[in-house]
Amino acid sequence: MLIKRLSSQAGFAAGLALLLFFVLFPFMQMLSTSLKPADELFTVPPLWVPKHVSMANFMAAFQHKQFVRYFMNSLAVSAITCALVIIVSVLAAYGFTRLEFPGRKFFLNVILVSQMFCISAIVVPLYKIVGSLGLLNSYAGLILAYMAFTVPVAIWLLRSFLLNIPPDLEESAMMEGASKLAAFFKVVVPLLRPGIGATAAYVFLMTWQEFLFALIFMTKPEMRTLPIGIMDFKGQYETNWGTMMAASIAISIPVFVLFLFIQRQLISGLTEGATKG
Amino acid sequence: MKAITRFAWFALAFVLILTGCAQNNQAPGQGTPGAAAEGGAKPAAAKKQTLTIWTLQQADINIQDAQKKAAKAFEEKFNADVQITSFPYDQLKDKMLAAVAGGEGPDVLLLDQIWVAQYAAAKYIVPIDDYLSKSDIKADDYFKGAWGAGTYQNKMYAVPFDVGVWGVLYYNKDMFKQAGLDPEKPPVTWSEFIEYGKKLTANGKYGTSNWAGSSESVQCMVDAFTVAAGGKLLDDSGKKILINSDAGVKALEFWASLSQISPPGSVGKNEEDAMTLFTSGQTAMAMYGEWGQDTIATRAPNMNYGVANLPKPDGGESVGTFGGFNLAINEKSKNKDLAWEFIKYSTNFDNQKFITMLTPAHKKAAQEYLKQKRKFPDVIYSQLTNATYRPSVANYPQIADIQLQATQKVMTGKLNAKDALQEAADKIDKLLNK
Amino acid sequence: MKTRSSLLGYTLIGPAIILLLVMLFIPLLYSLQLSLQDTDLSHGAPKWIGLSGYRESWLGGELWNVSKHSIVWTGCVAGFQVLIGLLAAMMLNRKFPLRWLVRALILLPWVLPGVVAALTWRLVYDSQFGFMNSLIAKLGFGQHATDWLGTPGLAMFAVILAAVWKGFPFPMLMLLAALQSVPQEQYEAAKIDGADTWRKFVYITLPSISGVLKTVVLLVSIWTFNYFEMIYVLTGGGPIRSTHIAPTYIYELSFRNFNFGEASRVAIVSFVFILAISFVLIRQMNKTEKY
Repeated sequence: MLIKRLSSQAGFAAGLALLLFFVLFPFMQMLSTSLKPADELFTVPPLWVPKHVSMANFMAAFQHKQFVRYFMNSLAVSAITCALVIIVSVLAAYGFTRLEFPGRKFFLNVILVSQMFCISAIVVPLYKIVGSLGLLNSYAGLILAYMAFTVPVAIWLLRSFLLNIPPDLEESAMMEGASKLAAFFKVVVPLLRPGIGATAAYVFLMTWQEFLFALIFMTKPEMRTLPIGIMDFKGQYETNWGTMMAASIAISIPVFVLFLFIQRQLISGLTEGATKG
Repeated sequence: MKAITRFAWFALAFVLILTGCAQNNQAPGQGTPGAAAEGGAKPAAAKKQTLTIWTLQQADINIQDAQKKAAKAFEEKFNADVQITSFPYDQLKDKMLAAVAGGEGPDVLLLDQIWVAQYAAAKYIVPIDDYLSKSDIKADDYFKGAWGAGTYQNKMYAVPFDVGVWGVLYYNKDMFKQAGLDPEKPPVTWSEFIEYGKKLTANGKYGTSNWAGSSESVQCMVDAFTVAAGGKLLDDSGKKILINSDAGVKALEFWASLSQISPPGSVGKNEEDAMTLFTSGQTAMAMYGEWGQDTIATRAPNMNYGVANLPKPDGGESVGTFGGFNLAINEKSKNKDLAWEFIKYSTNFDNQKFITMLTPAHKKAAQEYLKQKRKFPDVIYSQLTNATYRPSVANYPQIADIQLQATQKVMTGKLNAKDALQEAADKIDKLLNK
Repeated sequence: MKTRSSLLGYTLIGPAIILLLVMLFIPLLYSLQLSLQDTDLSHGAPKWIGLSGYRESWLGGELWNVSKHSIVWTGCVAGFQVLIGLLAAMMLNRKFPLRWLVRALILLPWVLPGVVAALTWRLVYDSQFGFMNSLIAKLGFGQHATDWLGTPGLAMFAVILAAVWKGFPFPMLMLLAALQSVPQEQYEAAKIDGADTWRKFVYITLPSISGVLKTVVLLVSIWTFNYFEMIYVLTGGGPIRSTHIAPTYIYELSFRNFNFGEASRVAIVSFVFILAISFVLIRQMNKTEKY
């Protein structure tokens, strides 16, 4: 029994190690490149650990005059989109799962259809529409476009999480005299928290790294978002690998830290909540 | 229940407000694309015309400053408001097309030579023959290939702004010495190039690196070698491709044969990877655009290198292929006359010396520019003067892709050069006569 | 079970529907009418050709080639993303030291902007400077210089691996969230009955996450089909067009060749294709839906 337990734990540890290695492998080259001085960047065979660790690439990334600006732009756009999408989608998902009205299934499927179209085929008409709304070069236009693409997914995800929550819970709360709204917010929303968390993470990251819309809609340098801005380190014929990798590491860290907090809040600690419910 | 409804209406209203209020932003901006959001801030001080231009973002900040200075002078001279925004190459390409195809975009378009025919065929830009005849711009002042790249179906559409050439030969003098070669005598012919390359391929280092990754540049090289070997790319009617001639086959064979003196893995590489191998001291010679000097200066500032003309076939000439950018007027521009003034202004001798991203397209300006900014200016200038240019037809990108496939087939050993080029030529001819 | 309330229902879904109408369905209609035109630049001004354009694109052969690659690509990338995502979610659902850290680490591929991730993989696959060949050498398979992105066949494998890496955190996160709602009592009951891990998985875990799992499979498949950046940056569809999939082809047609009509045709064909597949999946889902 003990041996079996140990071996299964060893197997588990090995599996986890393998997974972590798979995830971190490209980051190793990224980190290694970002820390190398110019003369060590390209050697055959490549050095995994730099002989001399240099911070020059990180310095260069932060000296780039608008790098921090890009970061703040991205953060603002992603956070606002995320909040708006969650509001719109929680309501819609509620409508789709708990209410009956003509065309419910139809609209639900129509919503998903929006994900099926290749964006590079509709980018020109989309540009025209955003232009005729006067939203080119404004964050409002960008946020609206992001909402259009993330709301459908958010609704579908939230709906599938909602379906896992038995309606009897709400009903019994309503029997006790709570209004439908109160029942929804008091009973369902807490149970939905992992779903909301995961969905919010999805929306945040999609907007955080979106490239095409940000490129086409925004022109002013000071309004660009990170995925566009980071390409400043790549020219037509020359990629500034060291600086670009340093910049990539630098922008990943805050999001990583954000997730450290969020996952504790939203995923862990919920097991207890769920069983209690 | 009511509260949910109210909340939903609130969300709906919010979306509408978001749409609505941004619409107001635009009101005074007279719809100049790209400048729309700026409109509100500026009072209607006189009837200042606005002109927008998107340019290529370069690592060299001095050029951006020079462009801004030049734009300021232009603003004062014409009482205009010039807005210059710069983008990296790939972004400029996609963004400009989406905007222009969407009926907007900047007034003055900075076009890569190979886009001119397409933009002209799609009627995104206007012919400038009338403007030209009234101006003192002379074709002879500019590099012939660059001027040629600005024409489409016998009409002039785009004035040359700057030029580059694929390519010149860079070689590492120290590595030449180590291999017992005279560092002042770079290879001149194809056979010398391979012979030197074999001597330089030792101890984990290589003679050079060819490439065939997904980019235009490999076709620039093979095209150049085809013309160098006495061939032509397209016949005069523009309806028949000639790359399957003996010259074309020899050119492609030469390029593919470089694999024997290159590190393994050429097909997955692009021109940048090949240059990285050179700047990191893994290869001793590189064929690359003349702007490669900037790359060497940033990546390997201490390298002891020389620049020579591209190797030529026995009995042939050293020929490169033109690259570079031309300036055209957006068909949808509301200020075409002003746009033309700006083009004239940016392509005249005085300004060309400072504001171009590559070598100026104006020959006299180019000479001064090269002397000031480049080592080996004479080598570059001579390579530029006799460079060939890529076929100026509307479906050039498709042609280039078929050529690229032929090159990749030869370099992966799937077909020999003759068969691959024959197959490609058949496909291209069909395309040209569709 | 459900409350019948049309007004409230429409009000709740209203904002989402209006957004989609303006931002997506109008562009779609625009594409549809473009697809009925001949916009080849060498043919002069665009001409109305009706449906015959579709026939010609099909006969052209390239569409078939691209479809084959698209199917392989979508099947492999989506399949492995969900599989690895599920395995990872189950591992991360177990308690172990530093679990909070590992959970956040695993999301890292997803945090990276897509283009940056693709460029990083380009570096990893570099024959001389990449860690991929170096890793293989370190594992004892000898020094070599495999041309990951330049060998037809291998290139497809390379882009699939990179895409799986980039995308699997999404199914992982969703399934991990779904696993939180699996009732713990059932496991305990099963333990008493002496059920093994596999049985517990099939009879308890799978049914309780199946709703989310199906949604995830559906979404991941759709996204993968339209996933563009990875292949565009890594191979551009090459070598010898061996990694060209629908979105890279559409991009080539519109942004390189300016042939918006043909691009729209390909886009519509692939749209109908995904629609059909999704329809089947959705019906499957509805059949087993409880509420």
